[in-house]
Amino acid sequence: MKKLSSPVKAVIIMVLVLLLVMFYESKRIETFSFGIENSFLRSLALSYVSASEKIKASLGLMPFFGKEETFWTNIKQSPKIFNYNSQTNQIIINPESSQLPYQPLRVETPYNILIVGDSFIIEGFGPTLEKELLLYKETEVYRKGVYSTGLSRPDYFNWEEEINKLIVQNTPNVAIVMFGANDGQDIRTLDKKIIHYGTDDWNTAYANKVANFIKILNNNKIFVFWVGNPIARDKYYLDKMANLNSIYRAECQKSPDCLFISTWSTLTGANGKYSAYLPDENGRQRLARASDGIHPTSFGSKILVKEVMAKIKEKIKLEKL
Amino acid sequence: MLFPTFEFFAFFVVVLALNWILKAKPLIWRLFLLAISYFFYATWNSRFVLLIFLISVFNFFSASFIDKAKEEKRKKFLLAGTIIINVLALAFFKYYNFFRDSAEIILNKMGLTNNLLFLQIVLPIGLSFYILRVISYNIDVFRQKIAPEKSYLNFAIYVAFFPQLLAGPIMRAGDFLPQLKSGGAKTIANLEKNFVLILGGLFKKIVIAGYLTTNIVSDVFAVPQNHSQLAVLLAMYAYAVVIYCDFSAYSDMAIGIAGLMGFKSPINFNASYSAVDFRDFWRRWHITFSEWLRDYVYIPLGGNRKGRFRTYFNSLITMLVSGLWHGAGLNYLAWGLLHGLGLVFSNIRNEALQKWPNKARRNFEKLFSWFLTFNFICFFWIFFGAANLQNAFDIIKQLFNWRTGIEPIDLYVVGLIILSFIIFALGRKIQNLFISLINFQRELPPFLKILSSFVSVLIIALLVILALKLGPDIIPSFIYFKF
Repeated sequence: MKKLSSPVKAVIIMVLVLLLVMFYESKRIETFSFGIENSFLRSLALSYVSASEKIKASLGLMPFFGKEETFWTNIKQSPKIFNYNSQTNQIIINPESSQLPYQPLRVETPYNILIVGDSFIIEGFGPTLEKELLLYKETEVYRKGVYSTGLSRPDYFNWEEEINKLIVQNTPNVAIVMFGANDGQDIRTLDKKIIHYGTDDWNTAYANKVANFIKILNNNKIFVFWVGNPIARDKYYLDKMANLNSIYRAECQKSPDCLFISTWSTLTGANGKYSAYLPDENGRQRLARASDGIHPTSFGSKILVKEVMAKIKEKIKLEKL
Repeated sequence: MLFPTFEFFAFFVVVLALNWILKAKPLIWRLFLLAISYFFYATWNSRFVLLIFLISVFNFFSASFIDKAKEEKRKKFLLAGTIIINVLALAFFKYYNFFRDSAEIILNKMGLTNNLLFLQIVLPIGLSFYILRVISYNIDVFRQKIAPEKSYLNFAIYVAFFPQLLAGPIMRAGDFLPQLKSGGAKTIANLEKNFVLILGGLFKKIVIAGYLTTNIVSDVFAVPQNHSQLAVLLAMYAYAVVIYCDFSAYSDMAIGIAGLMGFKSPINFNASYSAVDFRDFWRRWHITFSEWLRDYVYIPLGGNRKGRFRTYFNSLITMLVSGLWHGAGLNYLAWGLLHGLGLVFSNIRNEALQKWPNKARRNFEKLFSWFLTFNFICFFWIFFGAANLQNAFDIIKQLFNWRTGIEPIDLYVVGLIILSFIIFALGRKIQNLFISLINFQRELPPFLKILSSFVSVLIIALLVILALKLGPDIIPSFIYFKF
């Protein structure tokens, strides 16, 4: 048999490796495929995903892949050193299990504040808010953000499960929540049902998710500040953010222990429209928004935090250190 | 398009196949290399392509004019003009807002107007790297180390060659252009090594840097005041691991990808944390950049030829340039200054050691010096990883705050930091182990020979899957992309 030249070998190896990895990781490829703008490439990738899933099913491998995912999730959970919270025996009260008549919460010191959300919480706004809150007496802050997540895709990242864990670990009495930048997409339920974005069903399903999230927190005696999204530059996001904000506001208003904080116009220019630059206290124009037209810069984050802190202080008493 | 993504690998499979098919027709092959490099760059922002095109055209002609100029004085004038224009292009995109803000503060304090023009400038990714490439090309032509390139096409490929476009290695024209002009290699030298470089890069970036960034560095560096002293200390060492894994991963992948296309690239990292002093460190860290600084900043300043104190001064200036190149922030300048001081100290140490004949004492001193160098380098990274100078001071303040109490720490974080430093020290040995693992030329009976390559493919695929499984869901961008 003729020996293959190294370039041919390299190409064959690359193709085979790519196909094998895509076969094994079909779920990941499916998530990735939805982001491909070119419709031909997207349908090509999705066809490969569907063929892979069929082969896996016909070979009876589905139970293995189900267990495999749990295996990797568990293996990445690191044991803790100095885990003084491990003795906490707080019981998580799920929304369904709550039978008692509801008593509005009294939020008192010490404030154990949990900040959760997406990329807004990881960079810029989240750390700035955390720093600001630490300037007050009797406050402890725990911040957890996960990139590219929200409430729409529990198949990708399950925030309901995560919030339960965070409640046990940190025993908060105040939560600051901010989602939305990644949520304007089809909802994929854990039982693989797809609810398309832009439909009434989607609005109802998403509102239920928000309500459920608030309930989990409230039923564990945690007051919720739900921070809305600031105005976005591109119409594509602008419309979605406006829709999501209206859902957050409506669901928050249904609970006596949730306060919706609107930041929509916090980062608008003098004309009430999106502006990348805003004046600082000296009247100097400074860049307030990142190049994506969604996230705030460090200056924009400071403006947002000022607004959010003002609303928080209306509800809970904070005393500077 | 990030290297460790499906998107890139799908793109690269097509590019790799076409690269080798088109090599038979050199002109079409070179046109193809330029087209895919520009396409790759356009996936970040299509406007960047116009900039790289303009910079290529300008430098192609400037080098030609420098070469043709008859008088030395005119040559120098043209070279100075070329360097200034290139530096201004970089300064405009990279430092405009920094200098604008600083100037406004000064003007405000003087009671003068503050209506300086503000622009929403996006830093074209990779600009800092290809500006260094074109400057070195012009200087090398001036020094007559290389002849100016006659083909614009070849030169444009040199500037934009996609594996090295975004974050190096910073290859010299004298190393790259002969390879291009000879049609590149006719075969892939050491196939296994190139695959191992790419796989190693995946592991370093996705598994190690991804895990440590997500689980300790980003949180602690963002709000150090809310973390215990131990967590800050761990974050400091974790960042040293992250920056090495992040940057060397990109370099390794770039070298591996170029290697699969038939191009040989210089190494960029060599067990950097084994350095026994700062001079040794800069021979092991971002090697192509430190050699660039040596050849185009340090030596023209006089290097070590003008006496002891001038040598110290030149080292300081060179490292300040290095700091400034990394970013428009006082934290980068501070980082550069500290490394400059480290180099000065290294020079003093080396001079003292020459007078120290006892070998046993010298070995002990070497160990002690390694320990000090390693810890100072990790400490200095704080300035590099911090958002600004104030943030760096906040981190340091917390590092020396003995009353922070304790907080839960991930055992995996501690384990991974220790493991990573061991891996770095063993670098080559681990690379060789993996090269033998995916060996495509296993000694097998003839009827099993066909299986050999499939076993190798399976091993590579499993290692990729393992990296994806162990890494975070979202791969953070490469740190060096912002420079």
